[in-house]
Amino acid sequence: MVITAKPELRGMPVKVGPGGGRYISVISIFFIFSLTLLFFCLVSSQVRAGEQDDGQMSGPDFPEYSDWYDDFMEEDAATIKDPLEPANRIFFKFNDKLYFWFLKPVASAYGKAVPRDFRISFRNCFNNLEAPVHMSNDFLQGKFKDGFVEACRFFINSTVGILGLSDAARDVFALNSPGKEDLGQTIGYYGIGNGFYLCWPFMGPSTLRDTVGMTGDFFLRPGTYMASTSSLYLRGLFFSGRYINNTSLRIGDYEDFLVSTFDPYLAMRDAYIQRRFNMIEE
Amino acid sequence: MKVYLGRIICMFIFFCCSAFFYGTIAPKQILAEDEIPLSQLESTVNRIIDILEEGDVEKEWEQQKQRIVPLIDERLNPEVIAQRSLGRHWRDISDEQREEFTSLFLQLLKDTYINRLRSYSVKSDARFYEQRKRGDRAIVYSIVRKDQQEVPIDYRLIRIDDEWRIYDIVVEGVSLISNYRKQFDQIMDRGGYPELINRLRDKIGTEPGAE
Repeated sequence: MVITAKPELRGMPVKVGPGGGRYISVISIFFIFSLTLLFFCLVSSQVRAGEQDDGQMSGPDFPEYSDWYDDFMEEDAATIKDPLEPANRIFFKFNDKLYFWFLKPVASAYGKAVPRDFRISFRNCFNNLEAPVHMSNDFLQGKFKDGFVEACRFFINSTVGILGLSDAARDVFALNSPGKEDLGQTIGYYGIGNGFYLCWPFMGPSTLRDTVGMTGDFFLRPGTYMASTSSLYLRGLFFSGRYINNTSLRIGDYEDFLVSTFDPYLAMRDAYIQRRFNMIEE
Repeated sequence: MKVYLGRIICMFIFFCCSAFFYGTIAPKQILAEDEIPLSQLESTVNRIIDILEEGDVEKEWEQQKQRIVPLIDERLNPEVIAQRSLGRHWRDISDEQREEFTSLFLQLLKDTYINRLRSYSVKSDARFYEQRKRGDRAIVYSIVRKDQQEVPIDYRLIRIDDEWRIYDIVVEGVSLISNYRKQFDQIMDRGGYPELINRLRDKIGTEPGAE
């Protein structure tokens, strides 16, 4: 990856040249690798189906508890295996330090320099660029109406909303995003389980399935195929810009989270799994 | 070139019309005929917001907090919260321990989340839009809008003597109590009840925002 980035860094014209070709081929190898992982994921989820219920707080053994048993939602339907926990905990710690030592100071400085309303607009703009991903996944799940709404939103926000800086589709046309579908959810929608939990450096909580989804979503973004964004350098700039801009709008959330939890790693893992489970259910 | 421009404009008008049409028919508010859980919850939240807006949050926080705490107390159900957060371990501990745990955990919850009202109340707006009810339990759905982003918050309530009381809050699909249960489960498995109480006391002892 580093070698392929060199031509662009030297300032050569950013077009699909020999360097770009190699870059794409590295990605396609990664994609094939991911598909293999996905297959593994499928197999493991079928194995898991047999051993899922560990008998927690259900059944006649717990009469007192089942008095309060919530019949609106299956309790603890969202559980996850974590065979790589030691490594995941190291990356969690890494992300924690990354936030406090680098991200937070940089984002606060940026937040002081740029007015809040501007930063919110930038976030809208970044969100708008994700619309093609949401739309494709709506269609992949057969949610044609939602896909159509996402398409309308993308069209309206990119034009009337001035490059997505304002969410005109929501504010003027009362078109809310019907649920931000991604490929991880699409795969889950077709009954494939999480596999196991992964905590990536920089990107944070994920699972085997969602990592495969993330890789696939990469190919659903129009930007991936644009010559001007094929440079790793520009891409890095784009992602760090988005990262810092969006972080500057939620400084304090992570601190609040740490204060309210006993084992932040465990709490974050559970929150992620619960949230994803819910997103797929919807 | 002109042909393309014409097509683009046509497409744009088509999209706008359909979007507008969709917008007018879609957001219907579906309310059950009996809206008691929703209205009780809403009135509590509105009273809290009124208190926060009455004075300067920075200066009069302690005083405001004293008025907010009883409002929240009457809307919470400590027993169910404690029982659900301990899950299967609840039956393994004695009545005194249950009482001790309940009061400590409730204190922790209130300390942590009431202090958050200080910053979260500013410029955010909550809308309660639907409830589902079955027997003596209900879910009230709300959306909190802050910085142009919408966060769905669901409240789970249980009826005790005609008063609906919260026993769980689900933020963006994440159940607060379920999240605590996973953590308590691990603590109980490793260190048992004394460890749990120690950890709770430690947490309550630390100042919010000290980390």
